[in-house]
Order: sequence, then structure tokens, then C-alpha cells
Amino acid sequence: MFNSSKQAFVAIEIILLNKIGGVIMKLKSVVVFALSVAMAASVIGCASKIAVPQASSLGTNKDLPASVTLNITTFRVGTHNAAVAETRYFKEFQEYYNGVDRQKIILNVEEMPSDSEYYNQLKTRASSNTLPDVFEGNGGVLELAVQNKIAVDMRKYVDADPQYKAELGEGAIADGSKWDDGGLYNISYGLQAIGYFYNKEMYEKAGITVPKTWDEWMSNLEKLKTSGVCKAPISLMTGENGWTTNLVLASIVGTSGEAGNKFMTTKYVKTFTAPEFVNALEKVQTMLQKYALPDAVGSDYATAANHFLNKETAIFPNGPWMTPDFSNPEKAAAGFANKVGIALYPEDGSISQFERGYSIAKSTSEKEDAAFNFIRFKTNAYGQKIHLEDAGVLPLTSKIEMSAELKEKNPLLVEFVGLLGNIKYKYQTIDVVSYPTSMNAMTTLYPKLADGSLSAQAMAKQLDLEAKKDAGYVIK
Amino acid sequence: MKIKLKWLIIFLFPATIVFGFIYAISVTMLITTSFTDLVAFSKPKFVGLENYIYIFTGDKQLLKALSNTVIWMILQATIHIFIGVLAALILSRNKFYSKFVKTVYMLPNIVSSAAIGMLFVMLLNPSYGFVNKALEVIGFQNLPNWFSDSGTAFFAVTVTWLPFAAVVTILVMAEMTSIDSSILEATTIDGATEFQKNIYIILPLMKNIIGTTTVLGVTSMLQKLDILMMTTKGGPGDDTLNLPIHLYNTAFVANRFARANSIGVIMIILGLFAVFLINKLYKIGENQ
Repeated sequence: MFNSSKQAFVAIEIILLNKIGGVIMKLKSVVVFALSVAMAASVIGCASKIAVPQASSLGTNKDLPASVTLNITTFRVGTHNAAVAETRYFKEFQEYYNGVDRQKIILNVEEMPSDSEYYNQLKTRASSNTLPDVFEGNGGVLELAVQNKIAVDMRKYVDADPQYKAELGEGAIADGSKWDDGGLYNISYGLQAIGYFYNKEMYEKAGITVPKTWDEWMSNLEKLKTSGVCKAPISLMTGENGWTTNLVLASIVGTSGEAGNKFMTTKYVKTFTAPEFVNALEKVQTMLQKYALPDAVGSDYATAANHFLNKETAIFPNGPWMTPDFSNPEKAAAGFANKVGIALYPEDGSISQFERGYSIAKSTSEKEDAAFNFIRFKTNAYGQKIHLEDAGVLPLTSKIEMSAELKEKNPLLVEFVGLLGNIKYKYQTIDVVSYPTSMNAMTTLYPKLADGSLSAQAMAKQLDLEAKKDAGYVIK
Repeated sequence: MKIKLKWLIIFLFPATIVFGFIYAISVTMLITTSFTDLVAFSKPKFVGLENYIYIFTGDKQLLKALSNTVIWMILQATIHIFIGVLAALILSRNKFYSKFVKTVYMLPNIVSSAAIGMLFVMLLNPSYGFVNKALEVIGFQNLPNWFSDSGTAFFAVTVTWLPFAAVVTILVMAEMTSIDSSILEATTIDGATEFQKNIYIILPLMKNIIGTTTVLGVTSMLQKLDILMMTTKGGPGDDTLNLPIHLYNTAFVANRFARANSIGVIMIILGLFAVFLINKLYKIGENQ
């Protein structure tokens, strides 16, 4: 009957379509109604709106500006360590801007599964002018937004509120003003200070103490390895963004004198072939080859963290927000928190930088004003306190104090804050000094560095080539 | 049976509209913006062939990505199809093990590629993965970090999809049910062995479906992003870099949308050429 199965399939398709057409004609009214209901439901259900609390007093204040809806996107959801803080912000913000005492601002929140997905969405939406009203501009996003005049200069808002300005502090404001035109395009929500954690028990058994120099650091690693107290001395990882490895790399460079410190405090370095960086890469190469577990090359953060939490490694470079994990029964054995110490890097070095924070996308003046109110709520003294209590993020100034409850719950955090006064070298993370293309390339170049097929010098040259591919690359 | 043209048009119209909005307009925009300097957050400006000149002369990674992609397309068109067809020929005998094997063999194709990637990352983990532990038990030493060593990464990544040809098997087995049983009976009477039946009767009759599955398999290599992102991300270096990963990095890491679109155009041309070549080789649709 049919010359091929393809002809048979097409014939069956046409017969079915004819029959379906006949049935549809008979059920036309039912179908139309059902489709209308489906379309209405899809329009209503597009994004989650935070439930607006009912006003306690009668009616709304008619003297207030008209209500505004802000489009917000967040990746601090699910198991993210700041998910609790984020939910709290949204709820309390809407209770505060409830249309009774203040303008009603409704948050239209869209959740993203990860930060990388968040930044990819931002780049795509920028092309179609559908950026969220408030956004975080990491990964080169804000650079492009400022370059193309899509970000709003918030200086006028901050200058108009002296109390809020004092709560931000001069450091955070200066950090958000590092743009060619001096505009304030990003407001930080916290200070990122990062040292490393170590297993005190393993240190004691290996007969070592917190090292003061990088030579002592390398010597400690050798002693930890030969003592057999752990499977490997240090939890490194080169997958994802190579977080722990890059913290160590940044610290070696950032504490290697004035030149190294300048390298690690320069946005978009001119070249990675600087001797300080190449020497640091050689040390990292040795650590990957001799002092890390075999799966350090290619592994993700979760794997590296689990090795430390399961007492397979003695050292884990990371920030103080990790401290709640040590007493979390789902992540670590009972009593593990008591075995963990926290320290600055050798030569009293520490990552010390302000989080990039929030920016406003150009829109109507009413939306921009409301967007600033949202940012102010998240970054004023109260907002910083929520970040500290619920997410372990250090505040922008020393004016925010830890509650007695937090001090009792998190002594490691207290210990680390106490160390901050001893910092001699402050520097930034690798992603701040690198173009995103170079940062991304490190993940694929580290394996070649680790297996010896790429030298430190060659890797540095490759990073320079990758930098040139970035859309924001500027020849210095 | 005469089909009224009017109804044909009416019922094909929605699908055509959907195709137009989702594919035709997108591909048109892809091609037109590949001739601009579009980057994230900017407006496009026409620059002619600048992107194409750069990616073929200044972008060393493109040539590596292109060669890796073509190698995977060839492997998919040969080994992958061979495994699928062989499984179909064996399972079509309907022995006692056929149903069980068919179900088990289908499992990797039911699970999402991203999950398969994560599974292999754990299986091939050099510290706690089952594969290395099993090899150590039987005496192997100095085992590699499969996804991170230059000598093994390409092989390890290829293994995550190459053997899993259940879709080919299912489609070929379905086509085999349409073979007239009298043909096979005649060959049996003539004294042909199973091997001769497979080679001289069944496989030639399966030419169209084998060609179709080859097209599906080869073009799937132009979409291979998920497993690579879960495992090697194109590394170590650019050992496992393919065109989709290179496009992704160009668009979402380097923020160069127009340049990424020009890579997309090259992928479309490569795909069309592969489909044309396979159709010619297998003479798909021609009377047997």
C-alpha cells in the first residue's frame, strides 16, 4: 500500500487531522472556553508575587505616590546559604512599603537556579531591554551596563540621605564609584573578608602551627602529608570557578610585596605574566600535584568541602559564611565545629573587598526611585544586620555589631572578626582582577598545569590571550 | 483518497506558524546579527564579514572545536550506529533475555544528559569513583583522572554517549517488523544462515531507517553541550572543546553575541552538509 513507512505515517497524520477537525467543529464552544481559561491562567501565573500584607489601619494613604511594581530576580534560593536572608528581605520590605505609611511597592520576584544562570539571563535580557529593575552586575555585567548607559547613577539618592550614607561608609561608596565618570553605579551589601579554615586536631597531631610565611605553609603541607593524619593536606578544586585554588593563588600573589599586592588590587590586570603571578602559579602547581587529593583537579566546591567536613583534608580556604556548616549535622559529624580553626593567610594576608552589590536599570523615574528604596532597605544598617545574622556576611562598617546570640552560636565568626585588625595585606579575588574570559579559562587550564603539560609561564600567556576575547577588553 | 487542500492548509497552518515564530525568525535573526558587532547590552552595528574573518583567522579555538565536533560526528555515524543496529539484530531474535536487555539498554536514554554527566563524574572520580576502585582491586595502579588528564579526557567524554544507542535499536527493530515474513522464510528455505540473512536481506531493507538514525545521531553531536558542561567544560585546555561549548563561551562569557551567532551559522551549515551527505550515501527515500 505504501512505498515507505514515511508515506504511511503522513497518510495516518492527515486522516487523524481530518477526524480531529470534525470533532473540534462540534466542540467549538467548549474548546474556545477551555483555551480562554488556560490563557488567563498562564498570564496570571507567570511569576510569583510576594503576598502583600494587609494594612493594619483603615484604607490607604491617598497622599502617597501611586504604587509601583518592581521586577526583581534572585539566585539566593533553595540551598543557597543566603536564601533565608533573601526571603526575609522580601517579606519585611513589603511590610515596610505597604501603602499605608509609605508608598506601596510590590515585588515581582523571579527565581533563578544558580548565579551563572542569573548572569546569563541578564545578558540576554539586556539585549531586549527587559532587565530586572534591580540587578547584581558581577561577571562583567555591570561594566557593560555602565558602558552602554543602562545603569543608573545612584549618587543623588545617597547624598540626599546622610544617615544612610554614614551606614554605607566611605569605603563602600568609594568602591561603588570606581567608574570613569565617577558615578555611583553599585551599592555593596557586605564586606568579603576571606581566610582559611584548618583542622586544629590534625595540626596538633602533625606538630605544626599556623604558618607566618609561605615557606612555612609549604613546609606544613609536607608535614601534614608525611604524618598521615589526613588523606591530603589541602582541599583544592579546579572545577566550577576554581574557588579554593584561586583563593590560595590570590593570597600568594597579594602578599608578595608591593608589586604583588598592587597586582591583586588592580581591576583587569595588564598581563598575567608578571613574575609574582607566575611564581604563585608554580606554587599552586606543586600543591595540586603533591598536596591535594586526586579529584581536586576538575572537582566542584561541594566535593572539596565534603573532603574537609569528612576530615579527609586539613585545610579549606573559604570565607566565614561557611562556619554554620561545621555544626550542621547534615554536613559534619557532631563536635566537628570545635576542631576547626580559622586563620589569615601567611604574611597576614586576607581577601578584603566589598561585594559588588546592587545596581538599578534605567527605567521610569518612579521605578528608579522605588528600586533605590529596595536597595537601601537591603544595604542600610538593618539590612546589613540581616545579612550578618542570617547569612554570615560581614557588614560594610564596624558600626554593625554582632548580637550576643550570634556570638554564642558562631564563635569562629567572632574569632575571624578579631583577626581582621591584624591584616597587613588586603587584596581581591582573582575574578575581580581578571576578565571573565580569563577567569573561565583557568578552569580548563588548571588540569594541564596539574599534569605538567602546561608550565606556569605558558598558562599566564594563555590567560592574556583569553583576556583579549572579552567584549569589555580595553588595551592598557 | 482525495484530501481537500483547504483542510490541509488549515490544519498545517498552526504548526507552520509555530515553526515560523520559533525557528524561522530565530534563524533569520541569527544570520543577520552575525554580520554585526552585537555584544551584551549594546545595539548592533553592521560590520560585514568581520566576525567570520576573525573566527577563521584569529580564533585558534574554533578550529579545535570544529575538528572535535567533526570527529564526534564521524564516531556517532559509525560506531554508535553500528552498536545500535547490532543490538537490534540480536534483540529481534526474541530470546528469553530480549525484553530485559531491551529495558536495561534503554535506561541511559531515558535519563537526562545532564544527569548522565553527573553520574559519570561520580563514577570516574579518581578519589572515590567506582571505576578506579574496581580497577585497583584487579591490580591496576596509577589510574588517571579520567576527565582531567589530557590523555584520557576525550575518550572518557565520548564514552558518556557513544555506546548508548537504544534509540537506534528501537527504531531499527520497529522497522524490522515491517519486513514481509515470506522473504525471510524464502531465505531459510534457500539455506541462508542467520548471518547471511542479516547481511544480504535485513540490513539492505533497513537502509532508510539506518540512514535516518544516522542523521539523528550525527546532528545530535551539534547539540552536545549538557554532558560536556557537567564533565570537562571543553578542557583540559581545549581537548574536549566542541562548537556548542565554544559558542556558549563566546556568548555568555565573552559577551560577544554576534561572534557567537556566526559560530551558530557555521554549525547550521555543518549540520545541513551532514544531512545532505548522509542522504546521498544512504539514498534515503529512494525505492529499494
